Amino acid sequence: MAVAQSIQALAVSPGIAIGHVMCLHRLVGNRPERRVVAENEVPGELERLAGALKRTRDQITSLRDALRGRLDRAGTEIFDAHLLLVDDKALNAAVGERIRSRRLCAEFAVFDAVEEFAAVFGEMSDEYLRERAVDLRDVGNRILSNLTNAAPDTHFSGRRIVAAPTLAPSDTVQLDRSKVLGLAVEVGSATSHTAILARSLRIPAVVGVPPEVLEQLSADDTMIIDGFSGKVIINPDERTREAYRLKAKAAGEFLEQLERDSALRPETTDGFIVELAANIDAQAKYDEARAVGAHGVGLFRTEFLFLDAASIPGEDEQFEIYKRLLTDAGDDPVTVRTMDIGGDKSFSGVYRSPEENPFLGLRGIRLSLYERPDLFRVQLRALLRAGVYGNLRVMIPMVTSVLEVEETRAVIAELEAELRKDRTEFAPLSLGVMIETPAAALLADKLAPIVDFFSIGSNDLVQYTMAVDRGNERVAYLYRPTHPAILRLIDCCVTAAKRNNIFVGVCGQMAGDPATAALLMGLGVHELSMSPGSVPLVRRVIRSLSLYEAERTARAAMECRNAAESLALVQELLARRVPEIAAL
Amino acid sequence: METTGTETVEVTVTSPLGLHGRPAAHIVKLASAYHSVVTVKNLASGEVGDCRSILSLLVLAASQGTRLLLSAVGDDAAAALAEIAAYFAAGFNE
Repeated sequence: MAVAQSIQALAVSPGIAIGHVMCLHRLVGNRPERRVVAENEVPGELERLAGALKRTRDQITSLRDALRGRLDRAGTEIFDAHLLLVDDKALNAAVGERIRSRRLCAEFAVFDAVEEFAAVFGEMSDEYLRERAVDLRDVGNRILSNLTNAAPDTHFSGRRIVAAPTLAPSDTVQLDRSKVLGLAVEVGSATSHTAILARSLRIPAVVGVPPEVLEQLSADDTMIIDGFSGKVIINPDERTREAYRLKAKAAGEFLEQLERDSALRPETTDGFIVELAANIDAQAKYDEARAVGAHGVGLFRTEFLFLDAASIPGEDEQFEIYKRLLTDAGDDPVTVRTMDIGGDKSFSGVYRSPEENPFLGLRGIRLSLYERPDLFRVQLRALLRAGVYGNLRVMIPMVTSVLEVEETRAVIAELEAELRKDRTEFAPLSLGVMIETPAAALLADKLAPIVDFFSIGSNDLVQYTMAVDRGNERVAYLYRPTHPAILRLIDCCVTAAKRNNIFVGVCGQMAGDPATAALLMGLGVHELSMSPGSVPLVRRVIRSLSLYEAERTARAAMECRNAAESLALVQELLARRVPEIAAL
Repeated sequence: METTGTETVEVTVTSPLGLHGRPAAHIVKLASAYHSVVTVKNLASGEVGDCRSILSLLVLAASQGTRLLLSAVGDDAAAALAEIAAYFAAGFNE
């Protein structure tokens, strides 16, 4: 049992969780002990193995079925392939041989057989096949956890706070949200996938929990995580627990009250509307956006379509996906980002050559235009056709030049001609660019006349402007969205957009945070798009401020010398106008 | 048509991705529907795999252009081979 202690982590998803701990690190990736069993124990080991295989099979099946509606075809096929591996004849023969002839314990037999096959894959020249070692080890770990633990995997009893060194997006999705009170993770940041998913699942979460703390934890420990302040308290005394129970109740009531406001217009006290939209991907449905009263989708990510090279959907399949979303959204605008591949999103099936510096390499529109125009054309054709069914906007990521927009327009014109020739129904595209690089922001006055809208991708804009990798803990302190340099670049875009009478939105982290949302509205942004979970909070901010005072604060913030000064200015405004949020 | 004995047929992998996970999974499904034991030999490496094991199919590392020899033994050998060979010929329906 860990000693009682209090540590400061980073809050990434609001809310308070109090409860027992569930440690995920114990279950995965451990090398089991090599134990030789007695002759008469062999049947028992085989029986344990059979039981673990059955549980593994059941888990994968139920996981696949539970996610069926939320995953695309490629996603469910991954689970099917995993099921085949569990029952694989060659694998089972290799494991059985180790138990029967070499009298190894079931754990080591599974581990050893899996590693043997994984090593064969690892030596293959084909990168795709090399990566199958990952699937195999994933299945192996699942079998192992079913052998070693009575409460295996993410299926655990009671509601608990999940503590883990890191959670892959797939792990986070797999967690049974009715059983997860909160997440306490070592590696991550406010913009990491864990954080984004936690917010969209509305689970309180903190990151940056030191590994030495995680290592001490066991299932007997209790924990409090404060997703507002980032505080983590291990084995709190009764008084602390009571205090946090009260805080959790108040916070819960406040969050509930905010959600009840979802029908209210996002209108400033002096009568201006700032549109609220939702960022969604395939796994979230439009209903989630509608439930919080968002007006449309400001960012629909399409990368999930390209996860598995073996099953990239063709034009008709993509058309159906876009059409369904547009139909669900009715008249609300839906902004689709064309494939944003490269950077931290590696898709070996789409693009394989390794890059020294992928964030500065072939990603976004560069890849779409010059490396995989075939995929880009299919996607644009599907979008042109789907546009008939709703209010569609299409934006291209990672733009740095006018030429990239012109070439995209040329591709679209060709496709339109093709569609016309084929007598296929389509609608002209409303085409926008994402402003994610300082180059695009500074060139906004040249881009604005040739596009229909701007969408500022603030996460990348901050990263590229500050020259800081947001995942690198050593320099993460430089990742400051309130930095005057960022505000000035955004001002550049808004000014150019207004002069050319086009619309400008923001779809990054800045849009969903109360302080930066206030600055953005002050800078004159028309639409803020965020994960559905943040919409109620930002609605409250908009409804509590006048555009006039937000503008004054934003102008003053642009003149600050550093991010701390500008943040202090806007926090002071929030403390006066929305104290209930500033206190969180 | 039912025959007994060993049947063989040579196929070539045409998919640019080679014999990867999805088609391998499909071949396991196809082969499992027959009584016959269907094996596949990589004619370049000489390695032999069992068509009912996705692992042993993947371990063949059959990339685009690899020639493979399918063999089946059993009462429905010809039918099993015909169906699996057709799947290769169709380029795994990609």
